Amino acid sequence: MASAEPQTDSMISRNGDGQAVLLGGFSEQSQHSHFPRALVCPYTGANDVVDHELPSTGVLWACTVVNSAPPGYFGKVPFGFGVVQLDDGLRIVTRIAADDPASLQIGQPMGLIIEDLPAGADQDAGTMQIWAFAPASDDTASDDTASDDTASGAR
Amino acid sequence: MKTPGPWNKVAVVGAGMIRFGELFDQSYEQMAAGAWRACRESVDLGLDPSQVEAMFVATQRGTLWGQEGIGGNTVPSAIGLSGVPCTRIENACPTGSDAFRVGAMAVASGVHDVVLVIGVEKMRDKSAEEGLLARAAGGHPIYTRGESAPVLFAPFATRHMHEYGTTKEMLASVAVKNHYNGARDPFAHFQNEITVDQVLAAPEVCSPLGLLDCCPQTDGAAAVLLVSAERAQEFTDSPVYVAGFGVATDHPYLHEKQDYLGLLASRLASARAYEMAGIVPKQLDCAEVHDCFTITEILDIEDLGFCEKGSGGAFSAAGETAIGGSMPVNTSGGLLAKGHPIGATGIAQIIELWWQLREQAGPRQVALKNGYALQHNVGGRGSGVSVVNILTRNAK
Repeated sequence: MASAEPQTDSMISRNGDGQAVLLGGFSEQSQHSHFPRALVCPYTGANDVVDHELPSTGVLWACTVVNSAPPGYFGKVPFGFGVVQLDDGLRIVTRIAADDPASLQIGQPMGLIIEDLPAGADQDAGTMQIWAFAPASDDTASDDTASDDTASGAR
Repeated sequence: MKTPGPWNKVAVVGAGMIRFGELFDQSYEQMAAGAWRACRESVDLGLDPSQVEAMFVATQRGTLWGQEGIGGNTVPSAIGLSGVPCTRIENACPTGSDAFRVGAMAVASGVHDVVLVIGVEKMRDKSAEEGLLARAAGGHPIYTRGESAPVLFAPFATRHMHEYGTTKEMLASVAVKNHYNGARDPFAHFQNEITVDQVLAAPEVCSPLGLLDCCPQTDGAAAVLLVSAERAQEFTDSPVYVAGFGVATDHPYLHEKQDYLGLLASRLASARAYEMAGIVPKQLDCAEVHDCFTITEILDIEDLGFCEKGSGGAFSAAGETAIGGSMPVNTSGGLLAKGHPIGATGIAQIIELWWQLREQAGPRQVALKNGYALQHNVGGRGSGVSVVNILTRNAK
């Protein structure tokens, strides 16, 4: 089980520019995208789901600071977890990477990051490469106008 | 079921449970037997076990004690009902309430006149790490990255606070009220009162939820006896009828339109139940709702129509959901104080309403005005399924 090699998360891909992106699904028939990628469209049951690269930026929709790590998580505690509304309107649950997760503000710009987490409790368990969203730096920040007020129209 | 209600084809004529708690000294079958005996003894005019025509056993997660494959059909022969048809029902956190609904449909269909529904769940034999927490993720691609039940519900709280100004004190008022009620319920896991300050000072699990915002893991069992309405008088002079029910599913984690301000499944399920019962929320005298976390009860009372969306925190803090309030909620102590042994939870909620509607709830008794009460669960990665049952003491 333990491996010194980084494990690549199956939901991470690389776009044409070599940038890491999250892979969701898209159904031509329903015109709905979804995440994580399902084998059939969760909106219509259509069997035409293809890979769909998600936007890598968005805004924080809701979050929590987790003080008690669930089994299978060997990273730093406390850590952030929550919901990010991506620039295309899709809301996804995600781990939130932040030095001080208690300082996170709903509506703040977020960007996709890839990081290594310990794959087990032992030092020789190696690491696993997984994704998270982190407060966006200026060059990756999404457009502020895509925040709260626009988003609540999706209710 | 298009005829406006109340449906009233099925009556609850017996209801009994064991005290919930950490029951290391009782096996799964012992707990079920305890609930069955209590249920049998509660039948006013008596019940001969040979009258039980069919059983439904609600157990959500047999792996918590090591019997995933055969839990449920082990029960009849273990408690003296060998030979009785028995089917296990599983439907996430509403497992017990859905078994009740299925039992009611079995009676209403005319196939059976007398049906026993037992909810039983053993949650404490394995540690949290081996048990519920480990299973909650279930290999899910996101949830295995640091998710758990409180982590799933906490973002609802932060979003609700952001949108509506709900406060941690308002969340705490739910825990305080449910513990107050639990302290008056001899079947509750926790029978102690707590204060808002204690809730706020409790260790934080995941912001803004502290330890006392979360329900415990609990062992327990509960049983009810359902009979056709025409035969109810053979068993009791005070039957409680099934006025209506509703079930709804929703996308769990795939729900991209989820606004984290409420649960669509609860809204759909309750709308269907109200239509079947032919009532509106204001006609309810009390309700047992799914308070796995304090924020969940606030979402519930909005989604079930007890108050406006967004006002649930203030409604709770103002005491409207207390036993003397305008809409008493979780008089049994709720999941927060009575406990949440998943398969037994919904059945135990039904039992509390049965006592309330028969005016047997002692210090927890609410004033009966219209004779209707509502039971609700929601779950399945938070939003996947909701079941609502409405009971009434009013004959059609």
